[in-house]
Amino acid sequence: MESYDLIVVGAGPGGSVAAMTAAELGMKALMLERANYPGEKNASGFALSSKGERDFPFLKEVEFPSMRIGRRTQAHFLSPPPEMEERFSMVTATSRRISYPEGRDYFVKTMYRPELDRYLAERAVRKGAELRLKTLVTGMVWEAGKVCGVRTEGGEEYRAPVVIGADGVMSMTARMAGLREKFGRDEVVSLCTVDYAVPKERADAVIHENCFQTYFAPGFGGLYLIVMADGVHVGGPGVTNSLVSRAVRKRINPAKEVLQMINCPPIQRQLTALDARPREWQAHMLPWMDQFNRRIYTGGFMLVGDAAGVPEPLWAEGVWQAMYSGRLAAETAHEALQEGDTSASSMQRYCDRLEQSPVGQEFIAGVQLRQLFEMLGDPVIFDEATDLLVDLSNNMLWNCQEPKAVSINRLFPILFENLPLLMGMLRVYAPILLETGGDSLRKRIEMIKGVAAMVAQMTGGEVEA
Amino acid sequence: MSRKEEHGEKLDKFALSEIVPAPSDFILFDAEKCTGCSGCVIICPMDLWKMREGRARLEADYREKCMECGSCFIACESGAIDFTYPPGGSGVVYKFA
Repeated sequence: MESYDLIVVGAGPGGSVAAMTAAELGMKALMLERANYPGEKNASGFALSSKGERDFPFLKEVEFPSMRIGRRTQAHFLSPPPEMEERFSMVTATSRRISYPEGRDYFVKTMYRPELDRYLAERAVRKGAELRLKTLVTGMVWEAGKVCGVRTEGGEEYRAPVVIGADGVMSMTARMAGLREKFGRDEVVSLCTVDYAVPKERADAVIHENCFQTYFAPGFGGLYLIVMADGVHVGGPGVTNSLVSRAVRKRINPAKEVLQMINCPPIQRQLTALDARPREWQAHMLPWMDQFNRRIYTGGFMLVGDAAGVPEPLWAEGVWQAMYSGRLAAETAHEALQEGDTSASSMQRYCDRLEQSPVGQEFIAGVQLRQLFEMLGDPVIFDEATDLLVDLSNNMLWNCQEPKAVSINRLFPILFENLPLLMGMLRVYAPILLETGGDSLRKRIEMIKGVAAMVAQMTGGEVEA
Repeated sequence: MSRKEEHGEKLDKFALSEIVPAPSDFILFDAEKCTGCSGCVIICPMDLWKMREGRARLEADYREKCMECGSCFIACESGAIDFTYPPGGSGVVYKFA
């Protein structure tokens, strides 16, 4: 039996950051990973958002062979099957209003996870943590109602006053610690991805920095097309069809839907232009919860990353969240050890801090954000929303079919007809605005009232301010 | 095979996945508890569950094909499916995830 200050189960981004933080704080940390190398079991999280470099500055110096910078993102809206052609698409650069320089520079950097995971695990080891590979944890050691170690399939026992479970969506440690048997059908999506090999010069020429693209079609959950330096991921479906409860109810097989949608002409053209060759098939689950999960700690034990259900509710981004939660958990463990208190109430501080942190804040109005996808998951509403975008752009700007005056006069009726849809969008965004920007929103409304009174005076009308 | 078939629906997912078969079972199925809801059959991305006489059945060679996603375990609400991870060093291998 060996003793440590901290045991981390799982050497993904959350686990490795937890271990490296602990080592940096002078703790004796052990990481246990079931795979042959870190990243071997991951099938998701191919992009790290600029939040990564903001909060973990050491990442700025990292260059992985597969890395590509995503300064643009593109959404494609397709027509219903069987045609499934482009109807509307938009490329977006980063907003100049984003609050930190890395965020203004780029959205994400794409990369293959084995490269990222190995780097993070090696960094944890360099900082002094110990890493054991091919080691499956099969049990917890308990003492006085608190977790105080783990047992492996080989019968070894490792002891530590705090254990961190970083073992992914299918967390066995969460189960062994009595936090949950498993995530519910409404909390998890089942996704598939095809990876294609792509010549780097093709990807540079065709994609350049527009490496994060999404495709939506009526009735489909949507696909993402992610381009690394020399590879492409095409995967999905989106939450409307991949949430396990909905997939089962709608009798949707995620693999079948992904392969069917890959056949749509716009994706086929992209893959052809990229000279893409199928290389690997992947299937995995992700927690995709609309509310912050608080069942992530007990005496001597904390969950981080996917095991804690941290991916945010709109796009299920989770790598940065995993790293952030890993660091918070290790810091809490360090404090707990200093105070000599590893009870559940001591571990609760981690949960409270995570909920107050940007990771937890992502869940503000998560339920409403999810409604965006619910709305667009309806084939009729999706087609109407695409109509609105197409109608506005065709009639406002790009009309070469009719006199401009005719088409411009259509704009008001178009907006009026689409009021229900616009109100539906407002229903999603209003609660977020009110919850997060209540005061400034009210001030702006007062301002508008003032301006309205002024305009009324100028034009001789009367308006009650 | 046409380019389109190679890219999409005709793509051979089994040929494109690498698995070191686990030396022991990691999915345990209790047929007595199965209610025949077919959730596992619908969701499995590798088509490893089949319905036989109103109950689900797991393919005998699943250890050579299962991607360890755990979807069947989540889909099953009758407690008939139990999922643990294959022993360390075995199971699915991702190089380009």
